Amino acid sequence: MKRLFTSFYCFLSIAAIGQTSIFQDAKGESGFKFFGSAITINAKAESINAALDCFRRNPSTNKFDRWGVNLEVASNEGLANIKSEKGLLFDGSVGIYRGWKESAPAAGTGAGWTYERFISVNTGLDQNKFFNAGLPKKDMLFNKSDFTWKVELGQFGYFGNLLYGFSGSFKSQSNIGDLQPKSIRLLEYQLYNDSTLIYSDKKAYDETKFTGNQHVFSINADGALLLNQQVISLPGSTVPPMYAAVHLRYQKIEDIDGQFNPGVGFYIGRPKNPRVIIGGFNIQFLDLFNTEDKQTNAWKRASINIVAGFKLGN
Amino acid sequence: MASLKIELTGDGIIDNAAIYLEDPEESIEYKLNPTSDTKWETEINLPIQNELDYSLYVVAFSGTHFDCRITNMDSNKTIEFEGKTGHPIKNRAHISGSQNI
Repeated sequence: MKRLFTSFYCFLSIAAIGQTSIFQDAKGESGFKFFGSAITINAKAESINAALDCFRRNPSTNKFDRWGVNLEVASNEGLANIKSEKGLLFDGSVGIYRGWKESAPAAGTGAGWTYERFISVNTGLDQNKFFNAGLPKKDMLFNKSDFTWKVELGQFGYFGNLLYGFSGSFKSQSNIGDLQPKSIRLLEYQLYNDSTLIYSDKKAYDETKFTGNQHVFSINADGALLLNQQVISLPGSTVPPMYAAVHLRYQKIEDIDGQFNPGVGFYIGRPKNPRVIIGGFNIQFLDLFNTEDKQTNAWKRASINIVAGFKLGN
Repeated sequence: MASLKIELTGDGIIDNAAIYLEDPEESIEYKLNPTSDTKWETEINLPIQNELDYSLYVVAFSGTHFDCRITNMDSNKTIEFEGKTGHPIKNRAHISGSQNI
């Protein structure tokens, strides 16, 4: 029997749009970059992203400059339990963005088009609690902090009925996102002649499974074809835009064979604002070519992600 | 002379915009400048009487709705109109009119 992993994530977008995209997979990866001063919450990735940008026209041309700063506070599953003891209570990253945008002349007669090329640099702090069962009790639980960084270059835009985006990135990150925290029970007190025991429960990652920071190269490419352009463009139409999308993901970690994680999706956009998605789903095939030699077929490694987005304000 | 403020607000991202305003002598293109991805504006001085002829051009992904307001800063009279890109040309809109200002 085929077993598919299903996940659900939603986005809360306040004000305009951030340096994030809602055409993204369950890990939050995307070739699309949408901008503006915004706060975005990704419930699946347990992250909050805030972005500020400065966008202006090059005088008398159809080219535009963009500078942006973004701040992300993110968590892994169970973070609240792991992080709530002392010290900093969150992981975070800060980044800068530089974009060069060009658009078709406004007063033209042919179909319009736009693209933006960009480079972004992010650095972050990743803090976690670990255990090592081979150490003495007093040293068994400990915290580790790692600095991460990421450099990404890419382009996104549209022509005709196609929205597209692609990017390549090089980053330093650990495998902490792939690990599951374990519950640790420590005996704190023995009372009344050992008849009462008081324990404290903690969650921590197994240090022996932790790789530390690794260099990761990844490529993201996305295309979303607007299926009902003629209908939604009619004056007064309230029909929502509909998209068929392809998501291509490739990732290589140092000496490990690269993994290809392609996906397809169907999305419904917001009437009058076609680049904001209000719902949809995608199917992503994880490690399509089974480089890890898992004893499962491609369908069993597939992930179905349901997307729901909504927006506050205009 | 009249001091005019042109404000364009998109429901979604606007990628480029310009307006042609007719004065008694000629028609001149005025490029709008973004204050954000969805808000564009410009201010100009134009020798007009009462009627203002305008042609607004917008580039945005098809289906993007927008509103435009032209304000005579001297009299505070306004012209307001709206449009949507993609009909009949993909990712474009062209709206012309003539109104009292």
